This record gives sequence, C-alpha cells and structure tokens, in this order.
Amino acid sequence: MAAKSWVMNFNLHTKISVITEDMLELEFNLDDSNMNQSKLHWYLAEHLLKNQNDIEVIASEEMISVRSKVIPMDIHKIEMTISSFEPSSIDQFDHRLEIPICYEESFANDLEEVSMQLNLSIEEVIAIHSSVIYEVKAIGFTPGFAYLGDIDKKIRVPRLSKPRLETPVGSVAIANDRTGIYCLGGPGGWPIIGATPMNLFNPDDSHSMRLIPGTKAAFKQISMEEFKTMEKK
Amino acid sequence: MTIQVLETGLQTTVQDLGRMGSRHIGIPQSGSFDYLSAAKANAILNRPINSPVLECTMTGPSLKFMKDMQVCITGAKVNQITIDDSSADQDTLLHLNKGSILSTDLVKENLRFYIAFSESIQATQFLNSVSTYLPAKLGGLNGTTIQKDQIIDFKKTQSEECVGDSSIHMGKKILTSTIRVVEGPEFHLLDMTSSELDDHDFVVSNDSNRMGVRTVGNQMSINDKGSMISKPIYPGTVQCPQDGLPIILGTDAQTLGGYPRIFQVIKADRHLIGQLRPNTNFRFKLASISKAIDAWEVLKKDYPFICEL
Repeated sequence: MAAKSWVMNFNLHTKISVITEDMLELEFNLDDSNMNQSKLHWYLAEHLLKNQNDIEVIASEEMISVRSKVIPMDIHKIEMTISSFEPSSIDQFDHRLEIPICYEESFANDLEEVSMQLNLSIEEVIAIHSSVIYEVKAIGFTPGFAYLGDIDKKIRVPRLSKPRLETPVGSVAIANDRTGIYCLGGPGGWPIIGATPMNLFNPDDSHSMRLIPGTKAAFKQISMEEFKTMEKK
Repeated sequence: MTIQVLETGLQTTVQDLGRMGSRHIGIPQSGSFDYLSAAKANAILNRPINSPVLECTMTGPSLKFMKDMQVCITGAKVNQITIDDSSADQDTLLHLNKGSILSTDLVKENLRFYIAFSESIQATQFLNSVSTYLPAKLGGLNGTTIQKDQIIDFKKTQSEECVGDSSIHMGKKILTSTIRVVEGPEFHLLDMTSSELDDHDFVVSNDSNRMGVRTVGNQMSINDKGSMISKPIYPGTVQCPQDGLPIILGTDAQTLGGYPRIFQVIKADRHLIGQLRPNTNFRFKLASISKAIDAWEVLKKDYPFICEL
C-alpha cells in the first residue's frame, strides 16, 4: 500500500496560499524522493483542468497556480478536486527526445558574445551545451516554451540586458541554469546559441506537445545541410 | 456580406473575450484588453458578449459597409465618429446602410475603443477563441492587425436585426487614475510603507503594449537580486524589476515570469489596465481581498451582463 500512504502524505503536505479574490497557489512538499516535482505539477494541472471548467491553471517548477472565473472562488471545491488525484495516473514512462540543433553562426546570434563572456571557445560552449541530458522543468512563458535544466555551471550566462522584439521560430537559447527552445516567434530575452529544425509546437494540435515536464531531452549537433534536409520534411 | 477597410487605425485587431484553459501550456489569454467595454458593445447589440469585436488603439479605422448592418462603439472617448457625413454617438446602436462609410479618428482620453457588429466577424479560431495574439500571429485575421483595403467577411447569425438593450449604462466615464491592487506574493520585497505608496505617482510609458503596461518616472525601492525562479503570472499581475519601475501585465501576458510579483490588480479593475494611456499618471491603491470581492459585486450590479464571464 505504498501508493496510498503516499497519497496521505501528499494531502498532509499541501500548502495553499490565497493570493487574491480569484487566485491561489499550491505547494507540495514531497516526502517521496522518487516523485518528480515538475511532473507532479504538470499532471495535477491537467487533472484540475479536466475536472473543473471554471478555472485556469499554471504549473511552475515550484508550485501550481489556480485562477477561478467565479468570485469568490470555491477553495473547498479545488481542494476536493486535488484530493481526487491519483498519483498512480502520472505517466511513469521515461520519455526521451533527441533534438537536433544547428549551432551555425547564422542561427546563433549571441553565441560569439556568450563565448567571450564565458572565456571559452565557441566549440567548447557547443560541446558543453550538447553533452548534457536535460529534463523539462516547466512549460510556459510563451506557447510551448520548455524550461530545460540544468545547464552546466561552466556555461551559465544572464538574460540579455535588452530583450529582442522578435525571436526566430526554433531558436535555442540559454539563460542562467536553463535552456529553452522558442517554438513560436515573439519577443525573447535569452541569448540565442542555435536553432532546431524540429517542430515542437503545432498550433493546430497544441495539446500533443513533444516536450512536457519530466521529458528528457538530448541535444544532437547537426550541420547546416542536415538542418535544411530536416526542415523540408 | 462584407466590409472593406479604408483606413486601419494605429493597431486594430479582432478580439473576443480571450482563450481560457490553455495557460498551462504557455498560451496567453489575449482577448479585448478592456473586456468590459467590449462586452458592453455586444450587450447593447443584444449579441453574446463573447462575439468578436474590433479593438482599436489610439486611432480607429474607416470602414465601408457592403450591406446593411448595426454596430456599437464603446470604450475610450473618440474625438469624432461619423457615418457618411453625419456624426454618430458611442454606447448606442448605430445603423449602417449598404454603401455607408463609418469613420473614427483619435481618442480624446483613455486608449482603446471597441466596434461590435450585428453579425459575427469571420476570423481564425485557435483554441476556442478568435482573439488575435500578435507576437505569435495566432487567431484573428491572419494573426495580425487589419490591413488597408482588406475585405472582412461576416458569418450569418440567427437574428437578422438587432434590438439594443437600453438598460445598459451609457457614456459612463472610464477612470484610470486609481488602480486597486492586493498584495502580491513577493510584496514583502518592496521597501515602502503603504502611505508612501498612496502618494506615489506612476506614469504610463510609451513602451506599453498588450503584453504589459510599463511605467516611467519615480522608482520604487525593491530588494531583489534577480535570481528568482520563474513563477506563475496573469493579466493584472504587477511585476517590479530591479530598476523599480513596475510593469502591469496585460491581456497578452506571458504565463511565467521571474520578476517579483508585488501586486495583483483586483478583478473589478482589470479592464482598466487596457485604458491606461501613455504619459498619463495613475496611482496604485492597496485593497484587502474582501474589499476586492465587494468591488466585483458592485461592478456586477452596474453591468449585469458581466456575470457570464
């Protein structure tokens, strides 16, 4: 009955903070170290949305945030929905995805600047960036954007001092201990060091994302020719 | 069946009340920034409040009608509205005949006004909403602003002629000088007393857009080292970067962000964020959660149609 006792722990360690008349935040203190926090938040968010159509949910690395359309919000109802969550419904399959990345200069607007900041050669930055198996920590910011971590300490750089207004689709960027892929255009503040030809977010089928919290992602360096061939497919 | 765009206005987009239920995958809400005015325009036309409208910013369009239609214009006070050569009013049902031209110009005060139609604008649906999200070119008319000479198509709707709802407030002033907020989760990082906050004037920056309203001028004092892990954010969340100039997140706001969330605009005042005009002053006023609930009840009494939101 390990799962059951875990469920009890789960309930005991839920911290609810009421933020406003229509928002609250939930934090979970996991006793079970086998449990992946990011994954738990993601599946709980889906569970909440499946069972309540009067709320909006955001799953971040540290917490789940719920906003109610109804005021005053029904905290008890949200608690009940959460207590009906079965941790066993969390997909335990180890999802892995290999993401091809081209680090060629024409895609990597900030790579040279980054290598200078770090006092490393461009090749060293690429080698370090592509040698780690990352894990999706959260989805958010803009459509389909995945926060992948952790970046090797040797290649951590801050956000751009001035965010760009337009980021090309597929840009691979880094900031502090996270790396991410801009699935759609729009403004962005992370230094860009490459691009992927892989389509990671399809607006026509936005609920079938290839990267969700818990997914492991390996980056594979590809040439410009390979990029172009893959892009055509 | 159609209207033709003769003049576009500064930034005119198709919006409904936004997309809900997809924030966890990074999809912003979008929708009419001043959703109260947009809903009111549809309510006056006796149409569902979620019907698509044109959101106009600072200056509006000129539209030629190829068929008889009714429209309603709400929101920021427009300097001049004309149908052919006669002037027309806001917050009321307007009749357009085939061949007529509806023209709008500059707004006198506030920022955004809305044009609702007796038929449904035909626009791209994305996750149950036709709202235009400009940064990713989603929804609306090709994901972008209306274009000069563009033909906008309409879908046939059930009722042929609209009968305006006369019970709706007309010409009520939109006051943005005070924005009521509750303390945000990182409020404690602010190094300011509430009386200091009461006297603190903020100026709306020209760099504001549908993602966020930026401020210039007096800086707030904040104790932040800039190392926060990105946290959940919504329209109406007030972030304060290290430069001490708060940003009020707008209807197109991102879903996670790393700056301290010092305030959250109360639900009853969230529609006002879309009316904050660059270079005007405003103040934040702290409210308790119970005051925020009361304020929403008051708004609901004034605008009964808003209950459906």
